[in-house]
Order: sequence, then structure tokens, then C-alpha cells
Amino acid sequence: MFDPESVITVDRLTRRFGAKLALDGVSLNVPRGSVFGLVGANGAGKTTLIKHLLGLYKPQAGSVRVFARDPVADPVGVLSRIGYLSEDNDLPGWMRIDELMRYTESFFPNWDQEFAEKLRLDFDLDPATKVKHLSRGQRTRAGLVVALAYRPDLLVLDEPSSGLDPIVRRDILGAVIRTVSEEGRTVLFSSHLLDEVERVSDHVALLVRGQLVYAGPLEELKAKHHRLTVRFEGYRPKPPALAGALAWEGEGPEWTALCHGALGELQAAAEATGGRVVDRGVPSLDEIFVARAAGSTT
Amino acid sequence: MKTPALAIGWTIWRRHRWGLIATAACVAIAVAASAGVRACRDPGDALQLCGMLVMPLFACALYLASVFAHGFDTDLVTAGTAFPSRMFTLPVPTGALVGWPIAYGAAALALLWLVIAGLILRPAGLDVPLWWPAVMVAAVLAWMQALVWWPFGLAWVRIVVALLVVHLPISATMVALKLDVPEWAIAAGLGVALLVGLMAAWLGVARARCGVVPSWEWLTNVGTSIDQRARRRSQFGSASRALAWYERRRHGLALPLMVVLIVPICMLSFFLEEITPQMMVRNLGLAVMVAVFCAGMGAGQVGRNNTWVREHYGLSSFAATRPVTTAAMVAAKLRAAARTTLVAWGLLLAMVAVSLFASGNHRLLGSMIGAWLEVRTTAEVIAAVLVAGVLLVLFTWKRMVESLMLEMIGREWVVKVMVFAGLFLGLNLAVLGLYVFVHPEYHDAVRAVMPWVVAALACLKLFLGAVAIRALRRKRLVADRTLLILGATWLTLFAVLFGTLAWLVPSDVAPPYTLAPGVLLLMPLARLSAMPLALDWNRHR
Repeated sequence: MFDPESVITVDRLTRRFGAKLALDGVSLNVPRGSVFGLVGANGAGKTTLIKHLLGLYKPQAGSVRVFARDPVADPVGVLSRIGYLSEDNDLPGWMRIDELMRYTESFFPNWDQEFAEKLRLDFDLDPATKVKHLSRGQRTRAGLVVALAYRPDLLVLDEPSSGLDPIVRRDILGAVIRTVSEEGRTVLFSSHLLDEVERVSDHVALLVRGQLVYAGPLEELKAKHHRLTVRFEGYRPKPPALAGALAWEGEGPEWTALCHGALGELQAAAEATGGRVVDRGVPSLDEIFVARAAGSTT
Repeated sequence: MKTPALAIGWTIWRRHRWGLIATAACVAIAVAASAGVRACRDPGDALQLCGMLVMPLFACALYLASVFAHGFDTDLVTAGTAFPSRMFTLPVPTGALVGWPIAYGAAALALLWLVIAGLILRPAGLDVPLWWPAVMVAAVLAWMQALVWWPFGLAWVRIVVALLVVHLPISATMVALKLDVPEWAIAAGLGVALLVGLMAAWLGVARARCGVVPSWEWLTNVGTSIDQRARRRSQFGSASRALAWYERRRHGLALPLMVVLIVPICMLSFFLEEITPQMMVRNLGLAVMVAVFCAGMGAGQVGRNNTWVREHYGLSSFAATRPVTTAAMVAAKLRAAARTTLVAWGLLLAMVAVSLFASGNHRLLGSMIGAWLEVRTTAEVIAAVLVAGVLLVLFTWKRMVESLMLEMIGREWVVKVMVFAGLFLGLNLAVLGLYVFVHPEYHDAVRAVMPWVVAALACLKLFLGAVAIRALRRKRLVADRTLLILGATWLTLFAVLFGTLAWLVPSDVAPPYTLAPGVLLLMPLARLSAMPLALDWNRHR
């Protein structure tokens, strides 16, 4: 079940919090060297999945392997190779930046002091400032410094963009992900900002209410989804039934469908309903996600 | 909920309803028990028993004070206000935010006193005053609330000020009673104290609400310049040293600080009155017990992540994702606790020595030791002092480590049940002990049954320790070699303590078969063994 080419292998992972099913039989593989975007609305289960990868949650059903190890049974073997930036960014408020760096360094033999110092200067962090006196964005930067400075094999970022202004967000996130992926390392990051995911990731997983609706290369996902605009002769009060259509938009004679499947077959099917395909295009990840999420509710 | 008063009251009720119901149940049980006691015991005995029934209700009073001071919602050591900041954005005047919790708290505590006095103590024949104590508890609560909510601007200042100030309404009342001030005047004075508390609370929250916090920049600058050297220090060297530093920074200050604040009060009488040998023993005993007693609270409860703070529960993901084993995390906590214990005892002994020499009472102590040496050999005296010292330090460390256990469990409901059940059980045992102490007719029976009780408790402890060690091995949380080394150390310490005590204590006072389980009960075992299990349960949820 465990793919040696995968850094992360999750198999039928289920997690329940009381009556709420947070993860429902999730299975996915994160290939080595990929930038893997974990996409989902708030409460979809992204953080819960990440906490399982870190061993902070024990699987109630199914299994999790990171570097082919169980993160609960072997926390040292797994955590020593992971750089993690948490959603809460719960760095100890009483530590100064230099103390935080010294403290973190003690746990990682391959800590690169020069790189750490460069990151600190790039992110404009004063070593004498206490974490609790940093703004949210600065705190995220501090978290990034200590997550990156030992060049981890796997960088896990849980909602890394929160608290950062758009320009810094673009620069920091782009630089971090490019750097790590260029060196053959793997990045897993969760976000509900889909344009961000689309810009930097090469693989995505879509989580909707605890269920994995898609996991694979982003290119493949986009190649399998199409936006077709179909014009009919007369007025149609509702869209036609079309195999592969995930969502419809429009009214009267013109309807636009977001579809999943082979383009030729979809076009033929659309024309078989009595319409004519007048426009076609590649939907954005945002559109795909919304269509998939809406589809899973009906 | 049409008014802010009802909304604020509902918030408090909704958040603490189970605790408040339990408190009401405890009070009802105490009232019913006191009625039962009055019905079946003679008046003198009934009065004593009813007085003892009241003691556990102090835990209820403490709980109510914490509820109405929002003590469960915030970090009491914080530099800013400990008033819940989420309430600052409510569209109500500061007077309402402050006034209603004070009013509800005052009503609850006053009612508690009226029930205790009117339904337990007075029917038992103790003619306690009704009204001024009710005003006094309300005033003390208002002062506590003002202190909790005031933004001091520097961590720990709140605790220091509270220790110095919060007893003032009670102390002033005691002085007034001694001076035969009429009760109406005492009640009026306490009413003024209540108003002062209300005003201080209002002012504090008003300042905190608009972000006014005193600046201690000069002190921070001094600290920063002192820290310059620390910043140039070399790295920690190893993960275990870094973890130990982390634990010391989180918990290392509480116990020494409490010792520094409380021990001088115990030593005060050395400078104020003529000291007799009995007073010397009492004062030194009190000072020594400060470290042992405070160790139970020192580790977690008063520290940054105190037990009463909601955010305290659970392990932060920062701490949980350190790439170390759970056993290493526990070991760091134990080492940090050991260092804190030694620092606290060092400070305590230094303060006691300074007090003895500065007051000239070292001569009395010298003569007392001389008298002791006349009836015992030098070796016995040295051994007794060493054993007492080791036991006290060990017991302090044990209590500190056991209080860390709460943090390791990390489940709010477990922590609260353990704290309040422990408090309730402890108070009830104290009541029972006091009752037996003042009734000599039970002493022989208790003396006969006590070895069996101690032996049963020791067996239970051994059993729980064995279960925990078995689980540690099964889960492979601690290496077998480490377990062997720890087991050998434990056995050696047990043998040394038991052997020395068996040599020192005459067998007619305590025969060896009671000493052995007694020493076993004093030594850490079951909870210490369960710590890696607790932290593992917390770390991997």
C-alpha cells in the first residue's frame, strides 16, 4: 500500500470528533519533490489531515506514513525531517527571536546558521524582539525562519498566508516554495486561497467536508475539466441533463457548464441535447473547486 | 436576554453551570449533614462537627471567586488585563462589564456565608455575626476582581500585589474587632472597601479597554542590557538541554518566587518577640513547609499556563512537534523541576539562616542542637538532619512533578476533576484528621488501624506503579535500560531512607513494618511512572 516514491501515504484515514466526521476515508499519496496544495473550505479537514501527518492525531481508522514511518510510533524519525508552520502559529510568546532560533537549532543537526541568518534579515526580524510583540505577519515570518533553516525534506505549511499582506504573501510564498521544490524537497501546504495554490503547486488535493474529491497533478485536474458554453434554439427554463456536468450557470437559450471528462465526448454529448457549443475554455482551480464542492452537496 | 445584565449573567452561568451546580450540591449536602449531626449528637460534639463540615466549603468559596473574577478564562500572570478581551467589544459601558460580575459574585459569596452561618453554624449553637462577614467576603472578592482585571504592564506583578493587598479587608476587620469597634461601623467600613474594589476594577478595565497599560520600559531596558551577555552565549548543545531550558523558563520561577514572598512572613516573629524553643520549632517548621506546600501550586497552576486558563489544556503544536521522544520531554520536565526545587530550597535555607543570625536567635538554635546532642550521638543527629533534608527536598520535587502531571494530561475535564476532587478529598481528610485529633478516645483505634491503611495504600501504589511500568514497556515509551537504571536508583534511595529511619526511629514508636510502607508512600512512583503515558496521550490525540 505504501508507495516508495511517495513522501506521504495516507490510506483510508478516518477521524471523528464527537458526531462530526472530520475525515472520511481519505487516501492520498504525496510524490517526492512535489509542491502539493491541500485545498478545501474552512472546516473541510485540512488541518486535521496535517495534524495526522505530524502525529498530533492518532488515526481512528486507516493509516498514515510519512517517509514510510508511522508519525505516532516514530515521532523523532518523522518530525526531524519536517519543517512545520502551524495555522495558529503558536510560537512561545515569551521567547525572543534569537532564543527561538537557538532553541530550534538544538533539535536539528543540519541547521544552517548562515541560511537562518539570511532568512531573518530578509524577513526583517529583530533578534531581540519577543515573539509576543510581533505582528501576525512577522510571527508567520518567524515561524518560516525556524521551519526552513534546517532545510527539511518535507515542508508542511498550514494556511501560511494568513496574516500576510498580498505583496509579502506572493514574494514569501513563491520564494519558499520555489526554493524548497528546486532542491528536490517536498512541500505540502493547505490553503483556501485557490489562486495561490494554482500559482505555486503542481499537485492538488480537494477536500470537501472531510472527503477527498480529487488528488493528483494540477495539470491533469485542469485537463480533465472544461468550461463549455452551449446555445439552444429556444428558451430553456433549466439546463439539460449532461453526463459529466458538475455545475451549470446561465438562463434562457445560453448555458455554461463546468464539466469533467474528455472534451470530444463532452462536446458530442452537449450537441446531442439539441444545443451548439459556442465557447469552450479551461476553468480555474477556483471554479473547479466551487463546482466540486457544490456537486458534493447535492 | 433583553439586557446586558442578563447576557453577562447567562455567559457566566453557561460557561460554569456544572461547577455551579456541583457547588450548590456541596452546600446542600453540608446543610443536610449538619442537620443530621445536630439530631444525633450532643450539642458540644455537634458544634465541633458542624464547624468541620464548613471547612470544605472554603473550596466552594474559592471556586465562586474564580468564576466571577473570570479567573478560568485568562492567564493571571499576564502583563495586561486578565479580563476577557472578547468582552471589550460588547456595546455596553465599562460600568456594566465590571459591575455585573462584581454584583453577581458579591451576591453569591454573601449568600454562601449566610447559608453557612444561618443554616449550619447558628443552629449548632455558634452565634456568628451574619451581616458584616457577608460584606467582608463581597469586599475581598471585589478586591480580587480589581487585581485580576487591572492591567499591570509586567508579568507576575499581579501575583505579588495580590499577595500583599488582598488580605487587607480581613486584616483590618480583625484589628477593628480587637479594638471593639461596633459591628455596624465594621460593616460600613467594609462597604467602603467594597466600593473601593468596585472603583478600582472599573478604572482598571476602563484603562485596559482603551489599551492603556503602564510602561515598564526602563526595567525592560535593564533586562535587555543584562541579556546582552546571554544573547552571545553559545548554543544549547543538545536537544535535552534546550528542552530543560524551555521548561525552566515556563515553570522555574513560580516556586522560588513564592518562597521568597512567604518565608520572610514566617520569619517575622524572630524580630518581633522573644522566641522560645517551641516557637523556634514552630517557625522553622512553618518556613520549611512553605516550599513543600507551594510546590504543589508552583509548577503549573501559577505559571504562565496555569490550570485555570482554558488555553492551558493540551500541548501546543510548537511543543508537540519537537523531534524528540515523549520520554525526553518528560525527562526535561523532571530535570527542570529538580533544579527549581534546589533553587527554592537554597533560597529558603539562606533566608532562614539570615533571619536566625540577624535576630540573634542562632544562639537559641545552637543550644537546642546542643541539648539534642546530649541525648543522641553526633552520627544520629547528622543522619536525622540529612534524612529529613533529603525527604523534604524529595517531597517538594515530588509535589512539583505531580502538579506537572496535570499539564501533561492536557484534557480539561480530567484536570478539573482531579483538582477539585483532590481539593475536596484533602479538605475532608483534614476535617477527619482534626476530628480524630480532638477526640482522644479514638486514638487507640486509629493507631491500631493506621499500619493497615498505610500498608494498603502502599500496595495500591505499588500495583499502580507496576501497571504504569508495564504499559510503558508495552508502548515502548521508555527504553528497558533506562527503566532498569531508574528502578535501581529508586530501590537504592528507598533502602537508604528506610535503613536510616529504621536505625533512628525506636521500634516502639514506629516498627519497621510500618516504616517501610510509610517511606514507600513518600517516594514518587505511580504518577512518576505514568507521566510518559499521560504526555503520550496528550501528544498523539
